[in-house]
Amino acid sequence: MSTAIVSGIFSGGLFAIIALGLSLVFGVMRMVNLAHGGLVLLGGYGAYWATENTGRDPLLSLLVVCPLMFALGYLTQRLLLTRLLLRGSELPLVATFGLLLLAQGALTLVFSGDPVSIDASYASTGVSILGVQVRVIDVIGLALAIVLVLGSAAILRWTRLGTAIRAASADPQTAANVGINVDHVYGLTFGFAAALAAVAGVVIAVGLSLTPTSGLVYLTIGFTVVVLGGIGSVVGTLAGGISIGLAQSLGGSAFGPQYQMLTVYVVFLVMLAVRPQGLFGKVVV
Amino acid sequence: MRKWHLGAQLTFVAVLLIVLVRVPLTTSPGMQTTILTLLMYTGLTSAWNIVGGFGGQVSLGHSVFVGIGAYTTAMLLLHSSAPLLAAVLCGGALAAVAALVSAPLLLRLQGAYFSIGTLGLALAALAWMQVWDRTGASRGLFIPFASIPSLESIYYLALVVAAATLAVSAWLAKSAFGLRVMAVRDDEQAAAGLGVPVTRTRVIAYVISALLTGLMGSVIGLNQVAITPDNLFGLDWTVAMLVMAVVGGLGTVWGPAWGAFAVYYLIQYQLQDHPVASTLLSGIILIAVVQFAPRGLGPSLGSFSRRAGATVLRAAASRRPETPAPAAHETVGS
Repeated sequence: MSTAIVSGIFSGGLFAIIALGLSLVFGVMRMVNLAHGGLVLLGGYGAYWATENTGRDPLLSLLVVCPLMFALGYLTQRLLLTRLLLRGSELPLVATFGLLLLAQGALTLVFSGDPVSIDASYASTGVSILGVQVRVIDVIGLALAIVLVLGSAAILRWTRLGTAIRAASADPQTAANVGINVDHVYGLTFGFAAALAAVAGVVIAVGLSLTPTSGLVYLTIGFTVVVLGGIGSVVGTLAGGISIGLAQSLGGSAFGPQYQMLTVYVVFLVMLAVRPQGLFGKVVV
Repeated sequence: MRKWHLGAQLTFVAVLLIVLVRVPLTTSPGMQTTILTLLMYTGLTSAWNIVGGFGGQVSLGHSVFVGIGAYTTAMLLLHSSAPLLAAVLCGGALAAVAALVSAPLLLRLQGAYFSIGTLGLALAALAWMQVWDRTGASRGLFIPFASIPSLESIYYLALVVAAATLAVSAWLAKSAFGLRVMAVRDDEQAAAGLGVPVTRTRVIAYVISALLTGLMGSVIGLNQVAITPDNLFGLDWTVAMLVMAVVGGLGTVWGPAWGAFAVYYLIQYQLQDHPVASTLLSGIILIAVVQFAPRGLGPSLGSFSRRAGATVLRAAASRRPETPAPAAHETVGS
């Protein structure tokens, strides 16, 4: 029981990182990014490629992968998605789905459909926390999640850029009127989301494994966390991620490992029915 | 003009039906299987289009209804002496019941939340079917060999379901109920203000869509024989419906048929030995259609041919072919 709780909390870090970019994009642009799982995979495969070719530490590869993913995200938003957003919410939904298929196809083409993972010493070694063995990568995942969530919240609250993003989120028209370049802000937001997705991708590549078709799984985990944590609530994603980690590992230990994901989806549906605004969200609509 | 349009449409439908009815008598089994698949996709996409197109709610969970239809039919054929037709009808009916039961949860969700909710439901159903012993968990079910109908019977079942789905779409496009569905899509508050029962309209459209999807799911189950969670509850079905509907034209009667033809026959069938290329191309086409022809290929081709036709007619009437009359081009097009 205590094993399940501790390992659930630590695996929740990864879920929070997956959800953070999704939550930012949805919170700022009201856009459901179905390609988010694809971005996670692109980042993960990018780190895999860099690590295989340079032999350096996979976390170091983030220094290259994250800026690249940021640029990719920024350009995608500015050249494709912002235009579609102006014409309603269905078109971006469909377009991001197309992007997901594109990422999936491209990754299968380059890396084949077989699962790959990055060999790193901290994937197999563990540390003892409260008498429970936890893998070092899960500790890193939770630490990254805390830093990224709090960092994002701080940027949104206390910087000029954060103020601009919040203004563009609250009312893009008025924000544009007072001189905020909303197109640019949207691009930056999607770029951030893509870079954050890449971080999640690296943690997955080291701790679990990557397959080109698993984008939808990460997307759903991300959505579950977002719904649980409260839509548009950045700090909520951390709580949501840890809750999902707990649900998964407690469900698995209570009913058997094959029930892990089912427990997550049931929690998701119950939340949707009982409290769609999330644990920490305010009532929107 | 309008009457002529209707007459031409009816003639087209009659000719198409005669051709499709004669397919098993006149073509090779290979061709028959291809057209069968096309009918299945047309029916599914058209059923999805009732909610996603006419209703404007992008469902990412319709794979659930395909799965329920197929599993219900397979269970009945395995464990009861129900005749084939009854088993198929029960598949559709249970899908409709599932839609009715999940409606209170899903249909109060707005826009993107509805998509997320249906996606969650689809993944929950898939995860459940993978562990539920009663339906063979991840191994699935095998329809007993003696109960499997001939390819010809499956073909005619698919034809009937697809034709019925298109007929329902045609009815939606013209009927008062269909107008209410579209009014709720276009402006929920205005529709409610005019006395449209918003929730009831949505629920009925959702249940009709699920019923038709479930019926086709039953037929797909008969055709697949091996009924596994991944094959029948897999998200691939939803992906196909969404892509084909968008490519063909959301909220139109013939769009889903166009989309099924373009995506299945022109891409997947031609590239069946290259699934990766097929995925890539689907993604590219989806983005291109959304970007350049957001109303879908069907309506865009239609208005293009009308515009081109009008331009040619005007050019011919004025006998000045050297001036292609750009002004006429624009006014007729809009």
